[in-house]
Amino acid sequence: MMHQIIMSFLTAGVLGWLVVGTLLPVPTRWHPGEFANRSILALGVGIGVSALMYFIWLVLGPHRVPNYPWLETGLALAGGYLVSRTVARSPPNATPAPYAGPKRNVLKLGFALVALVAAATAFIRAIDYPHGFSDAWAIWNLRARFFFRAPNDWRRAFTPLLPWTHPDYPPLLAASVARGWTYAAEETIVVPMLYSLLFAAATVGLLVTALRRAGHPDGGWLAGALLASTPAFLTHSAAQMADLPLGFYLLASIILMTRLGEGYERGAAALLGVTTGLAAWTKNEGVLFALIICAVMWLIRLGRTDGRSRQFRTAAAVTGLAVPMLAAVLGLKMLAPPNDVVSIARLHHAFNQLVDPTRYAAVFRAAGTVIGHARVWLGSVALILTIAGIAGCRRHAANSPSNSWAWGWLVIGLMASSYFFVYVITPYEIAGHVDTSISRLSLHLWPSILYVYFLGMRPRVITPVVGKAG
Amino acid sequence: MITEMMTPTSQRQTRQPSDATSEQRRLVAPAPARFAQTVANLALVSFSLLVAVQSLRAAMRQPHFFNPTAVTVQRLSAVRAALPPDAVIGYRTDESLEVAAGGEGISRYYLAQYTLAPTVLVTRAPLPDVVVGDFIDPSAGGRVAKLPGLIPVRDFGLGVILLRHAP
Repeated sequence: MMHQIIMSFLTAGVLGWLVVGTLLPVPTRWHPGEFANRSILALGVGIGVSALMYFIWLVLGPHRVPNYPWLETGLALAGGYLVSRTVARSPPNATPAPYAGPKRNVLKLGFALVALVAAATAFIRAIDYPHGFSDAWAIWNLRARFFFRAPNDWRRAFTPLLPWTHPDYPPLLAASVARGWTYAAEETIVVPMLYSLLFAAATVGLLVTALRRAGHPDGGWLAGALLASTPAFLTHSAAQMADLPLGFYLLASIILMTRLGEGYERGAAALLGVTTGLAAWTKNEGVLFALIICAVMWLIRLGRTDGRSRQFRTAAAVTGLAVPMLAAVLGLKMLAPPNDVVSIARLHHAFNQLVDPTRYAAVFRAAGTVIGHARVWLGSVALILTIAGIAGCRRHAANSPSNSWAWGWLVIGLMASSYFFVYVITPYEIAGHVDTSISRLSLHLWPSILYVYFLGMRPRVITPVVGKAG
Repeated sequence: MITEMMTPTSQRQTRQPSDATSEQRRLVAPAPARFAQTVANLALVSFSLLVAVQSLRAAMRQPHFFNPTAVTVQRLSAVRAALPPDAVIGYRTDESLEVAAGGEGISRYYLAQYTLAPTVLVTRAPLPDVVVGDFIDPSAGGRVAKLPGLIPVRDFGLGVILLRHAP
């Protein structure tokens, strides 16, 4: 069974490499962190793409679902061959300039220790919660069971008879788990457990390698250590819920967005579209994120002077978004009942709530109470980051040639504001809603916050390792 | 500003590696800033390690989690085999299914649905003809028999009873 599960992750990784390798040009010389960064990105993209393929296969031919691993393995083999050929081909115009700053072995060692302790903690939590947290078995793994146990009747997973399962929630995680079970040919708790742990580890890895690749390895080790030790992140690493996967896709999208100025253009923009689309296919908050990314991309487009490039970029992002978004919108929103918090039917009521100042105060009060529980941790992190920021800002102000990270802050700010307004218009009791969800919502943005913060503090921006400009 | 922000780095930054190295040297921060940076970096790593170790200790100290899913699977596996997978059936329990009531009953219901999927369990009237009774009291058979309009079909033990509406 175990080797079949490993095979399911390997095929996902190869498919992800196929997407990433096709869209991002291959450098002549791999910059430190570049290969690892692309590999982790490829794994996340591969998991999302393979879940999408599984879901489409389920819809088109439910009776053929047991054969799905053969189809995917065949595709992965062909893809693997293409990727190996692409990787072996060197583009002509790469100009590598690796980071030449002081080596901080202490930070690396510190990160390794934190990662080790965090992995042990996550593992213990995973053993303690073999079926995940309550939302995992009430929503995500339940839906996976519907897919796996009754593929011919997969629509049951979205039945309005069970409104508490949130039938409108996108099924990336559930489809991933059902896909893993199809590979294993049995319903084992190892699959959702591995997905949960893997997305936590991949998020930390993506953060570390992205900052390393951006020329700030110190920031990478620090951000990675801080993320890996975040109590809520550690707890949720065993939760088997969609919040960490969403956090991964948000981080991947913001990383790609901040890399748009490096000459990749169409390829990076299309990949940004893919990761954003996968975020939308993971949770409803991802749909919100996709809308925000589209708006910010439009703003970026306004700022571009080279007309041809901007047209391609916007078009490519929309194309990348189109496939998973279409699946999400058509496959689900037409089947499922409207969302319980945000829906057209509640528009008038929501407007009344928006103009009620007492609700704003209630949200602040509730958020304050929850944040108050973590004040020691939050206070310490804020203090240390502020000191690090003040100490690093002189260097940053002097020599950072790119401010693309500012767009990252804009996206994060818009997401946080949107979450705030969702609380304002919630049909539930505000304090309870905030109390049960704010830590999960924070986890969506926390990896991206760390990335953008440390990216803004990088000592210098290196000349990117660029292949043939997309 | 927008234009400046998004001008490709490849257009703006055309330094050769040797230039970059000399610029790096020029831009080395003064000693106090470097010291503050080093202290902040070390503080951050130490703090992270401390918090991670605390989380590990808390995870190890926590008594082994009572796994409700395993218990529910054990209790409901027999009735699952007796149900058609494509059915919609009713669900009755002796606990309140209101979230406000503390959540025990609702958790029990969610776990039953998790265990019995793809059979769909509904709790709202009118209940379908077949109903699963899932009771805390393992010897609830006699009491359940007195539920109006429901006839016990089969008692699976451990408080799990298959019921049917009286004709």
